[in-house]
Amino acid sequence: MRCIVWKNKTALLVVFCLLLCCCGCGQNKKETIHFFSMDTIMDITAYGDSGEALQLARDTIESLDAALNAADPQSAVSVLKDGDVLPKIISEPLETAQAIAAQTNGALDLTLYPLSDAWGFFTKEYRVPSAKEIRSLLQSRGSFTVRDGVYACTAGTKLDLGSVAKGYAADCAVQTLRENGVNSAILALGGNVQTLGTKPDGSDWVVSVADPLQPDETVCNLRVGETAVVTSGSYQRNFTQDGKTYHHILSPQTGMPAESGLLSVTVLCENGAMADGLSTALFVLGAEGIKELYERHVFSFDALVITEDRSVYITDGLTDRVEMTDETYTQPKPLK
Amino acid sequence: MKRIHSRSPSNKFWIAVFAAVIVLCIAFILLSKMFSGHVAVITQDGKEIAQIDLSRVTESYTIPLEGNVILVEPGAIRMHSANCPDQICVHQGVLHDTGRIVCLPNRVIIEMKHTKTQADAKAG
Repeated sequence: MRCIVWKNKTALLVVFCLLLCCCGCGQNKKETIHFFSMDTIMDITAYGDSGEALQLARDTIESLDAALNAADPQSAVSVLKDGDVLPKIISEPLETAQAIAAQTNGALDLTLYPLSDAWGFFTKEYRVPSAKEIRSLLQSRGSFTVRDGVYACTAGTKLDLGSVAKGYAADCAVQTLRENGVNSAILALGGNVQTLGTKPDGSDWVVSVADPLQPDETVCNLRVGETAVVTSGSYQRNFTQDGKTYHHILSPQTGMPAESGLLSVTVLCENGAMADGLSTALFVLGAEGIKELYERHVFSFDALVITEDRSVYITDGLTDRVEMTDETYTQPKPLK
Repeated sequence: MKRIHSRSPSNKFWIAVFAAVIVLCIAFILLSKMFSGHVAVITQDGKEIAQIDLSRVTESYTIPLEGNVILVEPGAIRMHSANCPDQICVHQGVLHDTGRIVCLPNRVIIEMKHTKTQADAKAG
């Protein structure tokens, strides 16, 4: 009888050890992949059994990179001609970008590729174009329309979906992960963050926001659920010439780097392409324009705005979700 | 009957065994994290080039890669040089126990293993 009890306890110990092992590695099992695509580094982390889902998500992003890269003359977006029927991978992000352009008085402009190229923001051979060259490139940049899925453009139009491509890629990658059984994941596509579900324990994700004056550091942490979090800032791509710094977010009005008094704008929104495109447009608009767009309720988004005087402003949805990590910036104030 | 009873481990014995298992597990987890805290992983184009335990480095040396040179020092690692125009990775400084240095043009990543940050991801 005692022997049986003893064996039972031994068996119990074995089960206990196995349970400890499961607690240690099974429940919080996570897998991360890093890869380079869309001219940046991408990290995707999935929790639970992800199987081949991560690799499939990577394949999704890489196929979009091949299709949407305006710098590649062979890409689907580069070979687009007047009268072509738009494939879905172009029409979807294009539709989002056009909606943003329409509601922001053209603050997001998909035809500025020749101008950005003249500044050297694609080749990294930076230069300040002359006022005459900027004027000429603005005038000759062309225009396009889409009607019933058919693309129509004037001569010289070079469509660039770079302002929404990473966000759209995140949307598609999340869709791939979801279809392959993943329900908890976080993607960082070169600073574009997108979450799927919540963390495995049901808690919020914590997404930090880069300090625009010291990008290796952070300004604050945001507690978020399932959302896209995208930042546009003057620090992300810039160069200094004759003591003046020029950044890559060009104003479609002037052809010069936008001077809206902002250091960065972080947009939170369910749709990644929308968050991506809005962050660029909002940076061009400045604090007043952001407030006006937010109050019109045409798009469902929240924003964290950092101005040049180190003030931090947030929209209503971020109240109680921001924890400052750098005290040299103000505590977040409502964008009013 | 009495002899059998004396050979059977008591409840106290089993409590001690279970407690020991828990302590060993915790110690194992803590020690494995402690010893992996200073390991830098170098990859180029997705392929692992090296894993270096910086706490065991006694003399500085360089690792030449295609387009980059990495400098390994006792307890530290950094990008010494790169053949790209912007030199962002060179200016990213030194890693000790956390963080990551990335050279986009040459697709090189130096990452401290098990880097733990407060945040799950960083926007920007």
